[in-house]
Amino acid sequence: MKRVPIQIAAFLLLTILVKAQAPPEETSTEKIPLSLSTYNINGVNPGLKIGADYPLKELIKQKVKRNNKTKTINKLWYLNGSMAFGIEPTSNTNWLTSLEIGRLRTRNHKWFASPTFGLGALVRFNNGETWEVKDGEVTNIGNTSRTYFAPNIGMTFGRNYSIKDFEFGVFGRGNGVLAVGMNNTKVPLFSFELGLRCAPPFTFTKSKHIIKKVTK
Amino acid sequence: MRNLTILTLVFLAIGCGRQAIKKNLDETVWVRNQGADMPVYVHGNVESKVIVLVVHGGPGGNGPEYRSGNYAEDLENRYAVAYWDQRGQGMSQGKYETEDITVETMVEDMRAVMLVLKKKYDGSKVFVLGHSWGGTLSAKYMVTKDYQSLAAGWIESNGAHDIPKLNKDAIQMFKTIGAEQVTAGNNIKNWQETVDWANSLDTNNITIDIGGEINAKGQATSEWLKADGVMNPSDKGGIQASLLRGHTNPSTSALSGRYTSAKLVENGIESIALTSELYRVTIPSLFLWGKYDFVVPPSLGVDAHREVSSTDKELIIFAKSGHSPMDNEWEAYNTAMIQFIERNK
Repeated sequence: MKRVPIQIAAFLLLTILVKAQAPPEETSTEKIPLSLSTYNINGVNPGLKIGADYPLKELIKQKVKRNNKTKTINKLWYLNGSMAFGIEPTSNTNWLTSLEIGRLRTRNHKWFASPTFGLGALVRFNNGETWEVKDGEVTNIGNTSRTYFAPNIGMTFGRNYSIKDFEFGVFGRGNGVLAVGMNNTKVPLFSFELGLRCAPPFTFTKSKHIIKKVTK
Repeated sequence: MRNLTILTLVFLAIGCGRQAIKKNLDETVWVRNQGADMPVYVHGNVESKVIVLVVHGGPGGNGPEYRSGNYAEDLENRYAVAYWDQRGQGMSQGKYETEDITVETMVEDMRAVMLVLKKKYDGSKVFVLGHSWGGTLSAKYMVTKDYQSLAAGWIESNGAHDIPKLNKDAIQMFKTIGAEQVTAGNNIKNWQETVDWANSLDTNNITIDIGGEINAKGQATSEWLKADGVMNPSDKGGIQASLLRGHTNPSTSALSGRYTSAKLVENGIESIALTSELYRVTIPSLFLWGKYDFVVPPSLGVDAHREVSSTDKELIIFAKSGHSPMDNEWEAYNTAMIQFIERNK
């Protein structure tokens, strides 16, 4: 029974991936965007996160308004791989590796928002020496950690900017991670990010499928 | 060669510096036992060779909750204080089964913490300070096998070592002190309602829900007594804990603790009655209680003081305090603890 939610999540993820392979109407090639952000547990503790977005499919909706201005909405489905570490100074250092699926909605190429759902592994290191007691014998086992399966959700809000030819986005993001099995239950960990998202010249390129819809 | 000698001396000086025990220690030590990793935050004067191990309340609380106020600051200036997060509470982590969330397993955890403290801070004497639920756990520890021999003394503060009796005595307290307060003209409406509610309860059939109500009413009545000057207000000085940057992550601690507390209740902690087993306690014992503690009535302190076999035993009931005398009368509270520790260290 415990595995049912995991199986459902995996099924949903695969369904989206399979759908993403449907014949495209158009393809476009672009650099894979990277993101670098702070990873602040409870909003105040130090940490860092890096991630890369792997585009799958994009829907572009354009609507010509009465004043002949065009409103453009981009909806991009993407996979995101990320690694984050966040410190709770006197107790734990957390290392989260996660694969997420998200939908990035951008309005007029400026403001964007993206919910994500991911599956990952959370390693919680004990800050400080750990002493193990077995059958009354005490042993200093040094620095140690425990690993938990960690489904997670996140919500990003941001804005794109352009300086000369260089485009980048500035974003804020809230995360909720569940450490499954910790203390015989599921324990949440909340964090906030402030970061930059851009496609520097050295990253890989990836083609994505584009469906365009123009309405008047 | 000269440079090498200087370099060696510098490294030796740094090395020796690291080995030396700092007077004002701020250190986290983790204890791993039976699937759980539990942090013990050690603060204060380790040169004193005395460690006060704080066994926190709840269940569902955490150790650092007790690191606030003047009492903690004063205590840390004199001794090292070890704030332990029990299994499944505070920032503890680990993987274990539901069957491992019992008071018996937590007694083994407490023994593991004692063994680690004694090994890491070699030569130090450990005094156990158990408050509220920490009184239940430390009492169970003291009557289990020969575990009490690891402690130099037991300080039970408002400890719930007999929960069925606690509930009955609390109901009686609501009636008698409620009637006194009505007569004195204090908060008449609230007290009269409380007395009526207490009169309506069947003391031979106290359910878990009624136990929860007694606890909640006990907390509420403290506020009325403080407002009327019967009890001292809570201490606002000394160490101030940071909500988000302190030892404890509030969301992790709250959800983890709530779950552990529920499992402990399912596993029968509401029926723990240790009064008849306290005769096994032979180490020096100090019982500290607030006169107006409706959560754990002072009658439990009277029983414990009578029952233990210790030759050095003392009971102090603070006249202007409730469930947390370390907040209401911290100076008198610390004086009692320090006198006890000094004569037994």
